[in-house]
Amino acid sequence: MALEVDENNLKQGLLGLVVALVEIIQDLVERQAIRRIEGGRLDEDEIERLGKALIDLDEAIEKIKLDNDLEDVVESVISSLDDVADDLLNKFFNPESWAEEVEEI
Amino acid sequence: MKPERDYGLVDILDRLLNKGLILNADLIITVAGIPLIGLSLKAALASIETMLDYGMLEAWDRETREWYKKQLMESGPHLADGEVVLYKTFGYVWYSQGLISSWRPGFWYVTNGRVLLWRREPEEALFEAFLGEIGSIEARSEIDFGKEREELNLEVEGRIARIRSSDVSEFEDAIRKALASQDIAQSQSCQIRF
Repeated sequence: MALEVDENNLKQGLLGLVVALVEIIQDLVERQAIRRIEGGRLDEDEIERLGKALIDLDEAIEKIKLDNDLEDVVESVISSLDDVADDLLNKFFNPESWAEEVEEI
Repeated sequence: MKPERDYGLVDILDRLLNKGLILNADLIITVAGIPLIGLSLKAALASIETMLDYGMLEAWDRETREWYKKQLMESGPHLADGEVVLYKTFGYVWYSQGLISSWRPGFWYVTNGRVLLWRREPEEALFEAFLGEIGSIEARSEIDFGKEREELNLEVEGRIARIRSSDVSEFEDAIRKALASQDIAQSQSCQIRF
């Protein structure tokens, strides 16, 4: 499975790829932030600071996407990566179907 | 175990971090039955919450948060009651006394009471002028190391202070605005008095 980057618009494609990776990391960091907040070890101040920093980050990424018209590219890169991940997971847990696939080839 | 379908990459990474990953590997390279090179790897990857649950990195987590909190507390000069920071930028002031003459770096603060150059480490106010003491303000450019650089000349009680900042005209505006609003405040307080 290959990631599709539009050759006709290399700048947009490349930037889209980078922003997509940043967005994945951002998503991951946000989830971990929620876990930390729910973990109860942080005080009020830290929670507020963390929340504000994440909102700022989110706004910055949204702005970059809007400025460069990247929404579609980023969405397609992320959904391709999700497909790859899903596929890998499936092969990992269902080695039989993988073997069948190989035999077919 | 049945796989849970329709999971994205982030879901997988998130789950991986929440569970945590431990790697222990020992390896020796031998030649003719004699071990020559050894490699002992111990690695752990997990979210900090998981690490803390297992009692790992506790001290580091606490110290990092405390250090940052301390930095936040100390990151500015002590302000008087009712004093508000109007503008803050990185910059320099020219210092010349005896044999020593140099540009001293710090953070410029323009408040509703004074103009201040604050150095964080070690803590010191390198320059301080109350708005009432400021005479003329003049922006000019000097040749420094063959390059033209903007600087601001601030007259404070008859002496000229040479100032540099990342954006000189913005800095000048900030000082002028602070001076103007101070004049308004003074004239208002006069009106109340009369």
